[in-house]
Amino acid sequence: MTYRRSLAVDETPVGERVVLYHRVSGSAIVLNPSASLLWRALEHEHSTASLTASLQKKFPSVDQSRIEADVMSCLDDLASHQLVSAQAENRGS
Amino acid sequence: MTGAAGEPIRWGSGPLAFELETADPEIRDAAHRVFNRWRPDEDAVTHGRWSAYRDEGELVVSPRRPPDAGAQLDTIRDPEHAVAIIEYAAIAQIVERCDHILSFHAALLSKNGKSIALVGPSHSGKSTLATGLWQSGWRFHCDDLTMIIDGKAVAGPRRVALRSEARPHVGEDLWNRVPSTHGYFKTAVGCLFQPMHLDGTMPERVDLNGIFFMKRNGAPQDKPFNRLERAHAALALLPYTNLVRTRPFSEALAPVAALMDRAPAWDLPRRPLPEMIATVESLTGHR
Repeated sequence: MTYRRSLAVDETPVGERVVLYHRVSGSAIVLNPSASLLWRALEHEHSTASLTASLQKKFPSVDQSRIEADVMSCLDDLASHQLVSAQAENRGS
Repeated sequence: MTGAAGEPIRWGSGPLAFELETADPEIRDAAHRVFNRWRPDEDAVTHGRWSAYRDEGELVVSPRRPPDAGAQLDTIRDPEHAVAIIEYAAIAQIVERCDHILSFHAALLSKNGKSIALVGPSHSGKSTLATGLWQSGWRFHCDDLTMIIDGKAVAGPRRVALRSEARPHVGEDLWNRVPSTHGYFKTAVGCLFQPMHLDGTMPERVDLNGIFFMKRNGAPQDKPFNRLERAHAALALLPYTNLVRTRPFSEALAPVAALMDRAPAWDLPRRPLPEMIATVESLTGHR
């Protein structure tokens, strides 16, 4: 699965956090610092594996399985607010 | 406020000025009593002009804001009523048209050089706490509109609305002195008056040392206060600001977030009034 930001989202950095606003639903959420890092990475389309690897570089002392679980949880949360869209990974033919 | 006989009466706050043209001596007198301490900056820009006059014995204010759908414009009872209409129209002008200045619906109070804003929806207890703090020695700048000008907080140029049920929180001594103030105006539910007329102060720009949210959605209720992280505080204040009406989300949030860099924010759940006053005083270093 790959993820990308929804085009209907405005973002505002506030300190080390990012506030997201969905222009269609009108909902706004505040991301914690880790989720904010993830959001910044989602400027480009990413798979869960590449997002996990990216965060692993930032937090080398944290166990990879823990990071992977956090990434999945965060992506599910963002998707439930329609802040990101998910699509099946194209592995080519 | 300025305005010699025959000249428009000019009042305002900081860079925002308003003018009233009237030759009617009673309206001029009422306007002088209400606006006399609201002096805009020398180079303030006029953001609203009104005229007031008598037409076949009836008082007329022009322009008047259109009433809510289905309602009719009420008849202006007396010169004090005419001035109250203009006073409110000026505040509405700031909220609706002056998006070069951050303003938000909040009470502003200060004590010993420290200032706080109380933010919350109707019936959140904001007015009760404000009057309780006033009775406890806090200066009551305004209960309606707080503006941020050059990084400082300043009251919107409007009197405080005091409801009759606030009497126990204000205390008999203060309550009995209110009707003697120059700008006193009795309303159906209480009165409008200017606390500056009681303590002899003038409007001033103050550093904002704290913002207290009353009845914020999602605020924890199990403790007497809750420190809000900056981004959450900015998001909580945004709906109360003028900018949210006219600017895109990111543009509106940025100046609010900048304000949160300077002022800590707390949730203040409803508690007995003395307890809430003690909490505010403790968090602002007064106890």
